Amino acid sequence: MKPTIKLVCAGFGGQGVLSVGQLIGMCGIELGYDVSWMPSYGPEMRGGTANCHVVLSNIGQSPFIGKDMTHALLMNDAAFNKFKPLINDDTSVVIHTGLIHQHYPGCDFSALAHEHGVDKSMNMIAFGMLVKSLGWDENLGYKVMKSKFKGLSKSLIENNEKAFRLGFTHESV
Amino acid sequence: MSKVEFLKGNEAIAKAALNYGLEAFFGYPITPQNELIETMSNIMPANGRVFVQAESEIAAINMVYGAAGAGARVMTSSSSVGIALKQEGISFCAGSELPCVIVSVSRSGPGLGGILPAQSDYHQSVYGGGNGDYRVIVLAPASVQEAVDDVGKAFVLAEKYRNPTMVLLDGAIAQMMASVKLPTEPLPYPDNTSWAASGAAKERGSRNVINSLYLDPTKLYAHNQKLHAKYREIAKNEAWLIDHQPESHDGAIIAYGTSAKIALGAVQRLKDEHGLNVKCIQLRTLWPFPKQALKEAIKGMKFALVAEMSMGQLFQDVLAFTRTDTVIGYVGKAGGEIITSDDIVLGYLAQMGGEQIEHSV
Amino acid sequence: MSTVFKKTGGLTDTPFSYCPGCTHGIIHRLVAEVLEELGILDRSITIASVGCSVFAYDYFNTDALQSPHGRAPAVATGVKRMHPDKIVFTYQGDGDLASIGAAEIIHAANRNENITVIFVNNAIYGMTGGQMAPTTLYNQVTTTTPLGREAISGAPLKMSEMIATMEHIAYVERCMAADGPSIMKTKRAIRKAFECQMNNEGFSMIEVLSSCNIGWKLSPVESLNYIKNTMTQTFPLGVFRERKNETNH
Repeated sequence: MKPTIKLVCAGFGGQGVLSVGQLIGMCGIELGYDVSWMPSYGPEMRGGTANCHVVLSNIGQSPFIGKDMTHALLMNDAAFNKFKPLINDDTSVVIHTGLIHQHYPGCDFSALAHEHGVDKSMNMIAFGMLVKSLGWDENLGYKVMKSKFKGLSKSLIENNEKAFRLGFTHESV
Repeated sequence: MSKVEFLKGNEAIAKAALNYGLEAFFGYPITPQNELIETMSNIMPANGRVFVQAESEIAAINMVYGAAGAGARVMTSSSSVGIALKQEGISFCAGSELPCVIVSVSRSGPGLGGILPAQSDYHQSVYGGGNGDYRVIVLAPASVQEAVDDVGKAFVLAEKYRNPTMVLLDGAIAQMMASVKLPTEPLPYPDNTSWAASGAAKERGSRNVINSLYLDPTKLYAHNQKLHAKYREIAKNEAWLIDHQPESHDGAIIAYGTSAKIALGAVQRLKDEHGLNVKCIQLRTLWPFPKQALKEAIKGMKFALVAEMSMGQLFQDVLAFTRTDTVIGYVGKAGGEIITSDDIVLGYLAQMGGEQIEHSV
Repeated sequence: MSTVFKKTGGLTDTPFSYCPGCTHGIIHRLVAEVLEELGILDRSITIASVGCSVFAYDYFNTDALQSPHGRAPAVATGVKRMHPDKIVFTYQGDGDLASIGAAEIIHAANRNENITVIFVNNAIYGMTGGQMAPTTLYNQVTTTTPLGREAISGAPLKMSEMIATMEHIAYVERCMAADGPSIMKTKRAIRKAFECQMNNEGFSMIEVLSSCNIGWKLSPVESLNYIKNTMTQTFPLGVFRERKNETNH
């Protein structure tokens, strides 16, 4: 039995939290999990706040939104306040320290991305950190990114991979 | 064997329908089913099939009526407010005995309501808003995979009985991405020669007319009797539920769709946290309502709880159709609030020792 | 003895349900003759509407579908998209086409569906007993405009003029069924419309000014004169669109 994973990704629309959730879901498929990814939808998706719940469970269980998240990626204050009730002592939390001033592990994603010239790939840093904290293989991340981003420009793909690497090797995880 | 894909409910339904052999899709944008018509606009023309974005839900269902009447395997999709607009056309399809599939992705109401998931369209789907004595077969999937499977089943039933068939899901299933296997083979096409108005009167040697108008009451009554005989046949053959824990006898939770998915988790918690052996009964068809199977599944129980994302629409039918000594409870939410396993567990514990209440209005 | 006149094979033997004096029967005959003469009867599909002509599915000797009120162009869209090689036409009155079905006719035309619309305009709801239609003339008395139609209930809606503005369509003409010459002219127009469809030129509509002597409370002869002398004042005859002859296409 693989451990059940319940992840919430939340932040501003445009920060790419929905994509991070999808990539985690795609990893789950590769690992033989039953996967569900549930977004906030409607006007939220077109700007404002965005969030998604990702559940990776063993085949035959019922993956669905729950509480007691095992993992959380929170990218702004509103997201932190909204999803704090779903977090417990065992939850592995990653926050955007540039926007949330709380004592949780994390990273100033904007600053780090800017420093390395990968501003548009900021969310891939977060994806890298999540893959690392889940104990998954680095190559799994590259594999699903390759599948999801086929059709994008070469430079954007390279930046995504670079950002992912930054996250995967980040000291906080 | 098809491979596992990671798809949004709406997208999976569209791709599955194409693979099942869909020939035409007519739709109109409405949240939360937009990705369904967006996917269709891409994959249908690319595979030489028909796609039209209609000017309204009314026009879309009438294009369905036309294409189905001309013998095509056809589908439309919409959501609550849009399904309301389609009701006239659905009645016409039923009256003229046309096979077609309607995917209803329900949001919250009444009126413009909201766009978040709800199950407040139980009455709309099961009892309809079109005129006359007609029935629509209603399948209720609880996951993306079940939605994909039900689209195939819907085509089979629609064509077997020449009757409009609805797949009713809610915004949660449509919007979620999940691991899913799509069909790979088209379903066999039925022989429509005897009735379809396909413009082949010469080859056939007779005219085919699609019509539901009978001004002579004797003829119209006979038509109604014929329809009703068919509905009885469907009720006998196609009523369907899943008793997830047939060995559990302390009580039951009765639900469909997303609520059933959540009820499965609640049942586990009732066992783990409270030592109660409660079963989850998942209704897979809403019409025909699996009356007999439900009665048997709750036989001898003191208590069964209906869990739904509406204000008691399903509860009312469970009460009416079971007519047993089992006390039937209700727990529910509406308006886009998704029911939680907490709601169900607490609702169960609070009501399990009580008297029968009349919750519905 | 040689046959000089016979019933067209385009019509069934079902007796018409139309009132004596009504010109629906003539227009049916014209359509049926055209289908037969063009050799397309066997591959035609009639889309009947709601109103006096609701039974058109029983009259035209073709496959047919009866439509919900106003939705015939949408039903025709569904049929034609599945069978582009068949000839699909709607037969609609002014209440059906111009009022409840205004959206469907406009969008079918705007998509340039390759169908033919026979639009019978008698400026009244005949089937329901003579109420105001969107095409009812100013001052015309109906059961819902007992003092005559005034501007507050809208102006007579000119569908041919409106439809003619659609960018891609093939052909729009308004004719009348009021006397021998105008009936023969109407037949030529109907023929042209079906030829457009056969040539895949796209949407065609023939509006035929028609009588409702019962609803108008006139004699049949007075009704025909009313079409000629009064209706044409509001609804001028003519070709409103013939894309083939346009130089910029």
